[in-house]
Amino acid sequence: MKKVRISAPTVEEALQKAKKRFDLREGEYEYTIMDKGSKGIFGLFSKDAEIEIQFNSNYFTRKLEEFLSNALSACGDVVVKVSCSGRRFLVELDGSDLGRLIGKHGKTLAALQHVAMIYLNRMSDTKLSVSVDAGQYKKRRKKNLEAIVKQAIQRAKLTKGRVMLDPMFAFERRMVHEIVKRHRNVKSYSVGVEPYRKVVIEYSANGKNGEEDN
Amino acid sequence: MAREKPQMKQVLEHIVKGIVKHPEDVVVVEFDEANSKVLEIVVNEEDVGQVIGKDGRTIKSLKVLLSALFDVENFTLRVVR
Repeated sequence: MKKVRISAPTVEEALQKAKKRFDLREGEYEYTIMDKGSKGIFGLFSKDAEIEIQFNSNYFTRKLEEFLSNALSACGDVVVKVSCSGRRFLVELDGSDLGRLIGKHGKTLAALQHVAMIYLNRMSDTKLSVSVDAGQYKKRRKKNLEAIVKQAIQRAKLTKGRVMLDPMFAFERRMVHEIVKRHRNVKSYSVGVEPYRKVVIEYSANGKNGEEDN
Repeated sequence: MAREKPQMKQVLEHIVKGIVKHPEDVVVVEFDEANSKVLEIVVNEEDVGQVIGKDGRTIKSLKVLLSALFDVENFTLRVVR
């Protein structure tokens, strides 16, 4: 996720330097010695040691947790839990005032996720993705969405026409397209401009899917 | 132990410092202008784009976040280089 080269008179000093500069802790990195360095003769021909530090996911998990806890400290007691699998980070928020953190239609959650994404990717060399959820909001919303879409699909098939859904966020529209794809004889596409872009589910006899765009 | 509730300005500064290339150049100034609060974000020239984001998405996110955390609607965010 992140690699940095550091040089100092000795390997040990280079390590200390890196730890201090990046606020690195034990268990959050591995390192390779690129050059052991040498003291030279009477200080002549001396060469600095160089190491390459590889930050691992523990580092990013802790930094993200600290960053978000700090940012949300104005909101009473919020517990921020970050987990990571591969390049995906999952942030779970818990606390007494979750409604405020979720916002209308998950607006605040989306804002928080956007900021968290920039924070992570500013530190990392490779692209990382992050998802922020509070009190299972997204999970519940997904279930809800599935029910709505199923109903719409049935109606589209019954009337052999089209059904227009309410405006949704990009990630929600994507979920709808994915659900529709699993059903035959219907296709889906999005119309309108943000933030009122919405999905249309349409009956199509040949069972072909419409093009997807989010 | 009850921690003191941080001010809007401090929270904004913390977040902006987290997302820019030059955190040491970040300064947030708070003042009133025509009966509404203005928070001016001073950042390095290189970071102006980052703070605003594509189609203003980042600065909008910051606004949404701050209004949710502090229960205020009537304020303006401004990015200055």
